[in-house]
Amino acid sequence: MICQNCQKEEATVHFTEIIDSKVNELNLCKKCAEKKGISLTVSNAFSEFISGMTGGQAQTEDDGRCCPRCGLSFKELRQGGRLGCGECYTAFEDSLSALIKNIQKGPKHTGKSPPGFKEEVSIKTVPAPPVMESNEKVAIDKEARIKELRGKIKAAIAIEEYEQAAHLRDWIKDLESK
Amino acid sequence: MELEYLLTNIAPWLTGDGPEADIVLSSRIRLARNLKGFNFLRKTGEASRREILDLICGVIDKVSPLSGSTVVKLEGLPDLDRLFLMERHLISRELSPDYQGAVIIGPEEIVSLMINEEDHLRIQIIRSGMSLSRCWEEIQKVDAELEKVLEYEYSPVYGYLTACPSNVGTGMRASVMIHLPALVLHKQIDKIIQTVGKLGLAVRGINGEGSQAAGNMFQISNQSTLGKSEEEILGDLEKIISKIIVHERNGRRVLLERQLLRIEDQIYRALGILNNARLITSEETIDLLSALRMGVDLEVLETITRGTVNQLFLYTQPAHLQKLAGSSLDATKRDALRAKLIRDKIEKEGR
Repeated sequence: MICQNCQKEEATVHFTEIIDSKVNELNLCKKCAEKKGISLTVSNAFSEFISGMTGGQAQTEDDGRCCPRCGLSFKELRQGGRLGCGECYTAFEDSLSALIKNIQKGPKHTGKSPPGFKEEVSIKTVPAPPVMESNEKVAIDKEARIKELRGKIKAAIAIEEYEQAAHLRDWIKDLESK
Repeated sequence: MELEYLLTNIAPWLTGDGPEADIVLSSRIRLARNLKGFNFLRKTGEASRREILDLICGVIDKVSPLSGSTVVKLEGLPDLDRLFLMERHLISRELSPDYQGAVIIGPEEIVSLMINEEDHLRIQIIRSGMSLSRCWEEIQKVDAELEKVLEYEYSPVYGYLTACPSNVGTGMRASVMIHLPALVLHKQIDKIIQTVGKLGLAVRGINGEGSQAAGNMFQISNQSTLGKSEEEILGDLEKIISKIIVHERNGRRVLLERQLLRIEDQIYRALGILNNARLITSEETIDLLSALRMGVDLEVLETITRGTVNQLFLYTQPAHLQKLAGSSLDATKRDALRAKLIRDKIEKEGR
């Protein structure tokens, strides 16, 4: 990456400032960063923001945390503002969720998903309990319904929607007792 | 890679047609995607980046909207060509040869893929006028076909995972390039920019991040990518843009009703300079072309088309001029060639 300012040198200073939930990124070479008065210490806006959101707790100290997959350290994350791999979202979840909460509209993805992920997305709207019409229909529907709800519980747990899962579990209990 | 063929291609986003084309220059959507099984760019080595590049280049034949594409690798590409692609909105400043960056240019320059930029893959569609829904329809097709042959990094909670948390979720950035001379003349633009910012959209100058607003042109895009679906994000953006369009139209009507002579004077002075200058800088050109474009849109000037003004915006930029000349030129020679190009084009049109 080349410096955004002089367009010549390699950008080694990656500066992220967050003003009123607007994220500005600057990628500068050392010289241009100094000219702009950007301090080269780790303490940039990104880390200050994280420390602010997490109450200045241990996360902002370099506690040696690393992503188990790519090895990105928390310190590196603060410096670059970029993640090292998909696993980093889990590894640094506590710090990232504060950032995401501030810059995004919501904590969860509600848009399109790859073909294999349809089920997990569909459980977002919890289906209303089935309306039973006749005893005969109930018997057939009940088993299928319980099976379906069990599948949804699994999906809910996979995305850590425990409240949803508990809700679904109660329905199964309800159905079984009928 | 020879890029000369692009010089003669009038990209569809330059034609000056499409909905609301008197105010909206172009609409663009891009999707950020990363391949499963690879680290994000900052944690990859050269070998993995080459593998990513080969993997993506290897599947483009299977993606019908990309058939007949041109692959341009940044390694070994002259600086002038890189700038040329930047001016055409085909690559960003961040795409680097050091990271094995490449661009796949689709037929007619409507669709393009940037490889190894901040994310492994950035899919882009760009069209003339207010065409976000059309862009969305088309980019979905490209994405869906790519998704059949490539596996993306995806989480049911965070959606499409990206190197920067500001892109996570939909990975979608939709932007509209909009020309607002009346709002600038009425000094209402700062208020509009502030309001749009508060509504969660970003406003930038013509050349994207960090650039100044030149030629009364502004790029408005969504900031958030997570927590709302793509359609909701696009709907919000369209709603706000349509309000800005109403304000700009009102502003233009007021100009025509109350300050016609003053506006005509400004437009014809711009035409006069563009028609006669022997040396002209790109900064001056952009401002004068903005006035010319207003003249066309207000139907004050009827001999010049919107498409011509749009093309002049692009072809008077430094790398385009030098590609046209076939050699690198110093600033004065560029200013001279720019002035000649504009004169020729306007004269040809006026005939």
